[in-house]
Amino acid sequence: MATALPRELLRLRGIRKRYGGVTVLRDVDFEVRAGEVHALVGENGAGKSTLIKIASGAEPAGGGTITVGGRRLAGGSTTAALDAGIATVYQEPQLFGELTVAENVFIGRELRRRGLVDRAAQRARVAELLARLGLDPAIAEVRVADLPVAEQQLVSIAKALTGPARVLILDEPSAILTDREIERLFAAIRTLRADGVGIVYISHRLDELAVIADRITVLRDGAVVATKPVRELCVRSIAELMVGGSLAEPGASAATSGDGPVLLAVAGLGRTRAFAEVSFQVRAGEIVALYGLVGSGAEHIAGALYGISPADTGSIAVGGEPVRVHSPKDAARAGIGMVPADRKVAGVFAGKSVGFNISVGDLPALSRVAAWVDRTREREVAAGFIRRIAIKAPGVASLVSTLSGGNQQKVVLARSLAGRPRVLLLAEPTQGVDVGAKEEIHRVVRGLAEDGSAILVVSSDLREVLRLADRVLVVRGGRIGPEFGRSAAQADILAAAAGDPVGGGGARS
Amino acid sequence: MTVTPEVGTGAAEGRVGPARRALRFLLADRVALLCVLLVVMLVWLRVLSAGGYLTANYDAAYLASTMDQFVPLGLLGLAQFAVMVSGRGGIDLSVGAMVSLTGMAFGFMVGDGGWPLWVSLIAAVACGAVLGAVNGFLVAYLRFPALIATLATYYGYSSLALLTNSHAPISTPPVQNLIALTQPVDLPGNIGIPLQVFTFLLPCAVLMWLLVNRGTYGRKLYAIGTNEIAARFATIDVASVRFRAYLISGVLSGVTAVVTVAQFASARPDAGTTGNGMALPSITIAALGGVAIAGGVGRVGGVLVAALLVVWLNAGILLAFEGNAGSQYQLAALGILLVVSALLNEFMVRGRPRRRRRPR
Amino acid sequence: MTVLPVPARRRARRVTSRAVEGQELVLAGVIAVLWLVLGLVTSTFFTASNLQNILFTMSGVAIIGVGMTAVIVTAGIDVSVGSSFAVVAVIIGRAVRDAGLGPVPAVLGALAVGAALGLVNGILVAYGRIHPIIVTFGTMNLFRFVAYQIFAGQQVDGVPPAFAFLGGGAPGRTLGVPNAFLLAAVLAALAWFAMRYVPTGRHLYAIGGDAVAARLAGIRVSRRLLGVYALTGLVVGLAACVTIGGSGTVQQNFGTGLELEVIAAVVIGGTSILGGRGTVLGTVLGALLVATVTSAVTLLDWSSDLTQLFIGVFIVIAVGVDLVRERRRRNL
Repeated sequence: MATALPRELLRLRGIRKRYGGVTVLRDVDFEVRAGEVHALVGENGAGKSTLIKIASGAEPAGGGTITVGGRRLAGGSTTAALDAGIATVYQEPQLFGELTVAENVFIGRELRRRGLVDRAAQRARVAELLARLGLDPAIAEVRVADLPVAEQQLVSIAKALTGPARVLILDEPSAILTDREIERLFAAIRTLRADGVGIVYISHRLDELAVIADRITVLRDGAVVATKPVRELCVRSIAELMVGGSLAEPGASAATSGDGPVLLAVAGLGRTRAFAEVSFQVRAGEIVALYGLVGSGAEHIAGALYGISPADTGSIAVGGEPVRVHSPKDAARAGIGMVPADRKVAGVFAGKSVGFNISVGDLPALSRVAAWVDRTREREVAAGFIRRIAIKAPGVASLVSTLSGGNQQKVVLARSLAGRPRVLLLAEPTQGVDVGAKEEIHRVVRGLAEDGSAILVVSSDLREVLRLADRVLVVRGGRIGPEFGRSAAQADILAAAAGDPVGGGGARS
Repeated sequence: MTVTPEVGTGAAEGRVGPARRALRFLLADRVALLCVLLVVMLVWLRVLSAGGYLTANYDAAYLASTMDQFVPLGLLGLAQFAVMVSGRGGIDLSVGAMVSLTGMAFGFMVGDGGWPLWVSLIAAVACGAVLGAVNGFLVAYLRFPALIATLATYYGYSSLALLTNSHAPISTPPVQNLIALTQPVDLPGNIGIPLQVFTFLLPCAVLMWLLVNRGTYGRKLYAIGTNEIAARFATIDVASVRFRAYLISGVLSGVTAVVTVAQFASARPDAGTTGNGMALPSITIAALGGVAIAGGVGRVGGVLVAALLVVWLNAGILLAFEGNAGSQYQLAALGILLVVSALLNEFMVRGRPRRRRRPR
Repeated sequence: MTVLPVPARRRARRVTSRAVEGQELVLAGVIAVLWLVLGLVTSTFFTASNLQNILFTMSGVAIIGVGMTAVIVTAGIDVSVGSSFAVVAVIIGRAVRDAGLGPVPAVLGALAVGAALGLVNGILVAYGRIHPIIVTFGTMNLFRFVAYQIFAGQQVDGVPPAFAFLGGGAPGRTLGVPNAFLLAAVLAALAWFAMRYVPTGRHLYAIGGDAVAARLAGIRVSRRLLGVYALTGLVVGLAACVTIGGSGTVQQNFGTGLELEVIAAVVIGGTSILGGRGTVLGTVLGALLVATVTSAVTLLDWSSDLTQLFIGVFIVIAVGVDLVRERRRRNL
């Protein structure tokens, strides 16, 4: 698809970046030609988002040069990047739900006529953009809140295209879309490509790259591993490039025997538009991982097991007893505990003490008569956890917001353990946590399994999954795909989750 | 995690003089700040009084006698405390209307029905609870914005209160006799503290304090006000906890109604809604006492000290002017206190250094 | 993986942004039905004097409602309007009576005083970054104090009819329609137009929807906030002129509870208290509904206390319907 005489629109040369003592990018070269879709892939933490932040001016580079259309671009300025024609669409659409599509596109820089918003001109201009993206031009006057998510995403793209956009950076645009919606997105991208726009496409779904991308650049540990035309690669080979030649990491504890009693048994679990026919078992002493990309539905399965958004169909049994889980309270009663993903949003009570944060997880156990808190016991329990899982906090009374991310995560973990669950669900347990704390959290989790708990880890971090789990279940399109053992190769698992046509097992509907 | 910067900050903090550290503590700790303000104000007014600048003596006896205003203000301040801590823009505009309506119910029971006092009292509090439950249902279960739900019930309840006895107060002899509930308790030194401080305010305050500081309910209340999503994951029934906060507000309004009827020796259908009503002063007290409108933050002690501060400041202002002019200055004082304390909060949040706090 | 063909586009019916929102139509319908019923049940509803009375009663609330709608659309609130109303009323009342101020300077003076008070709120909200409800609870007390100081213990009696052209009597009507209502209508039309077609007006919705994103989009949020609170003060000044014109006296308790009346009208009119949504047209209809109910209760010889009960019920219904609609839309 690449044109005969490719013109380089955006060229990054020798980009370096360090955060504190950690090198995130080392001498990265990357370029986008006019009329090509250049996919950027890599595992979490490989440096993709840092690279696009530098390209879009949101972050200054630590070294290297950025040229746009042959002209050197001063880094670290979003307006300079925008003026040079680099438009970025982030995952979360920044739109105003109550304003119309046209208004959203032009907010803050309205087209005016005699001081008034020139609605007709805006509508005409937006209708043109919408048509280009394959949307119904009539939605220019629809409130954004009334549009489905996919169309909102396209509206964000339309917004990015109002300027002199020559390069369009799309940060995981497909993550939250359904297959059908992705098709619309691709149609729009193809149109833009035909118009000579250079597109940087970031995605975890490797299968779709063959459909939409022209070239692929793979990042690993902050360095470019390969830049190749897409026809030279398949899902499996991309996955191998992403994870490197490394095999299952040694040093992980010996696989725990799979002969304990089944503590968690899930059969035929399903929820409309989230996941379906989910069946698996976790034995006492076993760590099972649900591995899936963002949008795979893995996190919904955990949410259903914990009663956050209950399943419509299927059954859950804990220790052989069937249980009905309609609320987290039901889950706790059944002996299921959970560490939610996204510590800031769903984990910590910022501004409250470590003791408060831990004890709030199991108030009934801490209360003496009726509903009075046994404060001595509360302190003991919190102090016990601080020792047991090595939370680095000055004391029970110190504010949780003064701790490091890793220690905050340990506090959340301690809370979920306060009720002594037999089954523990961990969603992205080490997201945004430094390496040391990650190790420690993994050790605690393994210790829990050795003590006879059944543990289900939901993670999109492949290395974590392989280090921790005895078995890995790949979730794709809301269904459980193939299962992998401890000795599986990373590339196989990644290929299965990211859409290897052979290994995928028809997971997508 | 890394030790070096912490040692560094520690050293930097060590250089800060004790005076500045005390100031920082005062600005951060609302109860301490209010206590200091209270003492400064009392000393200042005592000095003015001794110098003969006040129209009457600002002494302990006078302060004690003005505490009858402390009771409704403190009780309703605590009611706002409960709903504001529960988060999601918690506020109860209907407390005054609940006081009016419950007061009328109480008046009917005591004055017309001839019910025994304790039965009427319990029934009145139950009536307040029902009214609070309506608010709680609208806000917690139907997820109405609190401001709107309680604005609607404010209208509804105050209208019903007026309708019950077609605008007329109930002042039959049994109601008039309720004044006995508000006799001053004589302490040595000619100090007479109104009885209702001991029989109504203190028990309620102690119960409330126990509930939020020692009870599991308090933990849940602060939790849902701080982070509703995290509270859900911590197996807290968010709606039920928030519902009960509005229920508490209703119960405290019921207690206030009983006190108000006794103080007036009459059940007045507009007791809690006349003029600026009781809702707005109570919200002011709660905010002054350090309860955050965003939820999850606030202390019982802060609310009580704020209420006392306002009552005694008002008492002082009253003496500073001839006749009735002082009551106007009370409004100004309340308004300024509220805005200044909010500015102080904002200043503290914004002015706080970004670096991590030094662990003790 | 098989590449699906682009699906035939769903022809889902969509609500495009119309000049009149659904809630406003419903409200207008409710009012029409009420009027019809009242016309049938009572003999006096459709008399000129009753209709004039309804229109005059609603104008004060509608005028202030213009500012309040803008404030609430930015996710703010102003509970100090009752007090600033009293301040303007007493200052202008005394100026007209004691200094013999003419109508035009008096109106201009009222606007200036009101705007100044609104500016105080605006500065504290926009630059002090205090929650608007705390700010305006504070200034509500403060302004009331200022008003009392100027009253000096006496209501202002015998204000000469400088504002008679805005009052409820015969001189305050044009072709039988109260001038106050015409003023409210013109003001509301201007505000409706501005909030719909002027960029600054549209920005208010963006600020109420997401202030941070609005700032990132280049909207000067603080300045806009300052503007809406000042505007609210301005229209409060105007409403005070209308009320003085109506009564000829300025009582000390002027404006108490007014803030809640205005907020009720705004909310019944479909404006979301959470910000980002609402129109002045809805507010005017809300004010009209409240005035209609007040009149109906009087005409039907019911206890006037029922009026507030009805207002409460209307608020619950209006907001409840809106909540249900929002929920259904999210589940789409």
